[in-house]
Amino acid sequence: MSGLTRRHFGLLLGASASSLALPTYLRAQEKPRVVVIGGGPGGATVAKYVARDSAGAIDVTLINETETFTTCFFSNLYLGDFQSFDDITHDYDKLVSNYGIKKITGRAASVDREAKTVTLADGSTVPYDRLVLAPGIDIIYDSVPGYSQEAAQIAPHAWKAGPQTQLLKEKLDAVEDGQNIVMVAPPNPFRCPPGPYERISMFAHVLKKKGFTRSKIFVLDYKESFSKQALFTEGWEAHYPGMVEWYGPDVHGGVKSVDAAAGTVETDLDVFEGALLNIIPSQRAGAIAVDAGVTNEAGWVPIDENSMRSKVDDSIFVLGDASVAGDMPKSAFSANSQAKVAAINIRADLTDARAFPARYSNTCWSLIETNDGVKVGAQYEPKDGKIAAVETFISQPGEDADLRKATYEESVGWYAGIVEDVFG
Amino acid sequence: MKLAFHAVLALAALNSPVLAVADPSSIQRVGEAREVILGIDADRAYGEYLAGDCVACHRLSGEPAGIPIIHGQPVSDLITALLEYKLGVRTNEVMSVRTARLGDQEIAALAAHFAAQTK
Ligand SMILES: Cc1cc2nc3c(=O)[nH]c(=O)nc-3n(C[C@H](O)[C@H](O)[C@H](O)COP(=O)(O)OP(=O)(O)OC[C@H]3O[C@@H](n4cnc5c(N)ncnc54)[C@H](O)[C@@H]3O)c2cc1C
Repeated sequence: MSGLTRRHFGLLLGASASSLALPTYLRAQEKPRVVVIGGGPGGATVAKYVARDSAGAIDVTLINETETFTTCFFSNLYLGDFQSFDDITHDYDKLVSNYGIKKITGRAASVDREAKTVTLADGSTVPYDRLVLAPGIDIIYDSVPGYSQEAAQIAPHAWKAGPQTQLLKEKLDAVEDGQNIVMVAPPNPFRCPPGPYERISMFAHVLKKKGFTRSKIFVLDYKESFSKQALFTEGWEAHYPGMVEWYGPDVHGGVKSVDAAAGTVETDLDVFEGALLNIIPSQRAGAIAVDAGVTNEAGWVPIDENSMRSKVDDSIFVLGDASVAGDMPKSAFSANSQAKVAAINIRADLTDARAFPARYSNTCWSLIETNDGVKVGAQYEPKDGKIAAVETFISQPGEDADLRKATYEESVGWYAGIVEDVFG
Repeated sequence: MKLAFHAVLALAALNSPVLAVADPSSIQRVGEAREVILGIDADRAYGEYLAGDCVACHRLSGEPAGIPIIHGQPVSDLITALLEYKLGVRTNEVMSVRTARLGDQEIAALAAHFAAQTK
């Protein structure tokens, strides 16, 4: 063969030689195939937008390990009795019936980037022309000494919603007056920066409502400071005086060990005892991203800020918590926003759709006490090689009650809106 | 002037407070900018893409719980609302940052997109 010129080669093989150079979907006159791993706000949104806006021109498969999806967002409001578990659990039926998305319930076990296939846990394979990875986070259990997946059955993290969230709620409701709660809060970067502190607020809300104001909530933080700190601190003092004690690493000196069975967390400063331990460890991108070989040393996936495309594989897009999204926090709002940028680029790759310049947005609302809502948000654009915040805002301490109530009501509207946008 | 008055009423329908002490020059700038944008041949495909930012909160169905319904509104009202947020006549931090960097083309495209949306 080595003596043959390109022309000869073409002549020998006839028409099929030129077709070899074509993408698979053109070769067989099939539709281009998009496979999405992860059916959260990132994955479900991109699946919907690609399927809906390509109006049948692209074949979309959505792989999620569970039949239904319980949102982490508003899971703190479930803990605080503002939402039911049903309220925060959604199915994929409309994505299938309205947009013709193929839903596979199962776990994607591996990605073969050469062959462009995904292999599921049951051994079946799914070919793709473009792959979207939106697997969310994995918990690094042993980043907190003494903690483990088994220990999480006693001391839940509840940082992935589902049975863990229900376990945490059960344990919260069983706390008696005078018994304490201990939370270990994670280092940056992690899913939902204000999440631990909204959760503290909901713990305090439930205890206070029962008159259990002798109980204390200790927060042992890996960070020196946290999101919306002035707002939360002000709110805790106003609504839950004496109930919340937050310690940064300069005070507690480091988390030495967690003993879930004994209900203790040992630090340099002291041994903290709780009837409920809520341990939130360090995180990294979901395992499938690591398997696909697209993660960096820290365990997250670098992306091109103009498209959400993986920096190491042009056929792969990565969304949401798993990605390194510059100034954007790991939030459902961010994942949903990033999905729309990815969707338009995927459609432009595979059809004659026009791609528009990337733009991103985020708002994170938090509830401190009934009708006391606060928010932080920004608008983002690609800049200096990353997704950069170009306009920002945050609620201010001392705002009047009407504004805080309106902010809370806005968050309820947002939840309904995003759920419809993602799953409807 | 009649147009501007009409716009203020439309705003009330969109359910967000007009700043009591809105700077009269801002209100005038809104009116002028609206006339310019109304003359633009809006790019609906671009508007559909940009609308991705809006529909994370603004639902296309159901009751306007906490956040107003914006689809199916007249183009002129939608342009006015976006301009009023952009120019600080109305305040809501979320809307202020979303609109701060919208140019005339973007506002025209968004308004055309949402005006054409029906349930
Ligand atoms: C307590 C708490 C409160 C929060 N509050 C808010 C809030 O108010 N606002 C906000 O915007 N965000 C909030 N968040 C953050 C938000 O939940 C996440 O940022 C968001 O869910 C990330 O979306 P995602 O699509 O990247 O990943 P996920 O939502 O984690 O979805 C990933 C999905 O992929 C599945 N999956 C993973 N690997 C595989 C595989 N190999 N095969 C098949 N399926 C797989 C997972 O099971 C999961 O269903 C909160 C988070 C927490 C923990």
